[in-house]
Amino acid sequence: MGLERVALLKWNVEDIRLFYENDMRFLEQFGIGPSGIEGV
Amino acid sequence: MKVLLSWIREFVDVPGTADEIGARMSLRGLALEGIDQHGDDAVMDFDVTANRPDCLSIVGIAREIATVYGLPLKDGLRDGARSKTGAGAEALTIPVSIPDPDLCARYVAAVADVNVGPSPDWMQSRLSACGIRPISNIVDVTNYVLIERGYPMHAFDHAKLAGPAIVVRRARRGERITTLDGKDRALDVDMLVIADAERAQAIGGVMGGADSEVSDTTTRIVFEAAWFSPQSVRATSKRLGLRTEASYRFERGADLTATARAMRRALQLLVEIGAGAPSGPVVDCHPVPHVTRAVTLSPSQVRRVLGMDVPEDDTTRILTSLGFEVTTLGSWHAAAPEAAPLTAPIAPTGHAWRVQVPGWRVDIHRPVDAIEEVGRHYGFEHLPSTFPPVEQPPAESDNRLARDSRVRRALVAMGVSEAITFAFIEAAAASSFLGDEGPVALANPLSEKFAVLRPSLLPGLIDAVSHNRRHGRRDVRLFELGTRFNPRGETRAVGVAWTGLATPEHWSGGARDVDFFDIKGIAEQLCAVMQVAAEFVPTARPYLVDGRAAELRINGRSIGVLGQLPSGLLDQRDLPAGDAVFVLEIDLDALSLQTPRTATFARPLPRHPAVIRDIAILVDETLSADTVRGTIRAAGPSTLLDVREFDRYQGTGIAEGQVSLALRLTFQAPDRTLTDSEVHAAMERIVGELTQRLGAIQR
Repeated sequence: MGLERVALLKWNVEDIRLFYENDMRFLEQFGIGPSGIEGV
Repeated sequence: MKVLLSWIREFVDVPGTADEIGARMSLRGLALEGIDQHGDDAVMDFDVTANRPDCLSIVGIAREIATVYGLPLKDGLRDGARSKTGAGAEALTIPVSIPDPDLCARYVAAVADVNVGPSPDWMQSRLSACGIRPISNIVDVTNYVLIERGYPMHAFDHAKLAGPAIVVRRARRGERITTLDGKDRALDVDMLVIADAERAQAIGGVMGGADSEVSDTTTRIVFEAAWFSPQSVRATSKRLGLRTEASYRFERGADLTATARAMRRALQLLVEIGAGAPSGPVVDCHPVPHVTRAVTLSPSQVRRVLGMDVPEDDTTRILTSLGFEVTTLGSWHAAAPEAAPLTAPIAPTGHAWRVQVPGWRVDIHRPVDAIEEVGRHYGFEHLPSTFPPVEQPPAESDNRLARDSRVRRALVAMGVSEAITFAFIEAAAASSFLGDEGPVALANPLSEKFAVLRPSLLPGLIDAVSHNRRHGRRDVRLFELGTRFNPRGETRAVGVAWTGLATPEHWSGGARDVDFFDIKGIAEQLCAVMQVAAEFVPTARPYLVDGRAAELRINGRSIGVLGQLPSGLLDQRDLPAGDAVFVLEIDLDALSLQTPRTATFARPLPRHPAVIRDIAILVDETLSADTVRGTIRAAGPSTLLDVREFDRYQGTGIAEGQVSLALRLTFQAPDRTLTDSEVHAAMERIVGELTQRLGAIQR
């Protein structure tokens, strides 16, 4: 199983293509927390 | 593999419904994909792995079921089908020769007199249920054997064979054949064909030829059951783009010991459905004999490999039921060489088994293969749950990961978002970024969009900017950490692309578009984070606007490049040509080499006051700030701590082509208070150098 599918579940992402499009509106929803990438 | 439950039950009296059987079989390594009700019967679709061609048959699956349920397997093959030709008639056979036995180890042929017509309903319905289209009684018999025994067969029209004879040979140069699907095919010289005395009549193990196809007018046939080399069938089928039920099985490996049995079964069925009768004895041409494999196992080895105790009776019961012949050896002194990797010293007093592998198990070569069978059928659910012991210290952490994380955090803190793009890109997108050596192209790309390995991170980022732009997003600030490729190897880099506003709209003002100095600022910040001093030197690149392109150097070594993308490139990547897109790319591996590895120590705070002097000079406007600063630093004493440009003026009162600069110089010594005359002398020297070297005029 690809990493994307785990991320899909963790962040409740509706469309797996969002991981490949690099859309700023999507990327800006995440930041770096004390232990890695986190939703902000 | 689709099998009919009633057909399975001809070979094993298995109780229960298709669901129940499927559930039990799935636990034993034969996963059930689905069940289709077929009247009061059921079609069970099993997922057969590529190493188990023996299970591509009713008998093979019945054998697995029999082992799981502990039931006997009935063969269903009776010695019947004796020649029914009258006493007076001459027994008819066909001569078979195999000039290329490396590709065909065995060829069994029989001649039969037939009445071609439809096969009986029960046969047609069984074949249809298993996904095979009924054609005629003769073809249906061969397909029935295919499904039941997993053995592909073929029937030729005897009258159409020149000779009549069968010659199993490689194709001749330029030889062609029209296959049963009506296509005319050119044959290569390493493809195996079944020919008559003159020409190819079938592609061995793949498909028959149209010329000798059994038709309504056929009265005499030649049945073929043969063993073809898996590699040869695979290569031929792939080259011709022709996959058939036969090639699917032969390329996985057919049972060399079952060829004659398949023929017996076909002749038996022929007689049984009244389609014909053999007109002579079966010819069995077997140039390469089957070599029976055997492996040696011991109970302690089974225990060690599986990690659980399997009762010895269960081990022998499972293997015997699967068709292995198990003999107990009194004692066993040395491990068989092929068992070496998994064999610990075994007590010389322990007994062992010699396990002879049946012909249909082409997948069993080593003791562990047989042990896997024991584990599978004893049930992996009996394995005790334990934590795996850790025998290895954790791998040393890779300091590149720490470096990447440092760079990532710095960029995120600067408001840049991380992008991840594909390492495979279009050849056109890569072209501007290639050095002299050309791209690293993929031998077999999925599509034109993924034709080459990226020589730079920038093409991917540019396309990401383009995607955002097309979705109405004007302000884009992206970075990517990734690997770049050239024919000599790969390097890890960070790329940045920035377009739109440098600072957001705000009532306090200050909203402005990003410019060269913003992207340069990112490079400087990254260098500061990595504790190296950045230098920038003007440069030229095919993918950057001249005059807005710089090389990033550290200790004189070029490690990156930054600048503005030209409108031609923007246009090519679907971006509005009027956009200003600035990019930066830094070789992280080269950057790490320059990062100091020694620990840093704190310097004591200065105890003596600093002296500040301002000067204003007129210089040529083409001089870079770096040149002016460099001249001052070179002329200044070691007590010159800092040089800053605090004002820049052009216009009224200043000659065309000149610029007025105001600089603030800070002097400080760690051990004393500087005297006025000392600083004055230093300033004199600096002004002198500026005048002499740069033609500066002090104002």
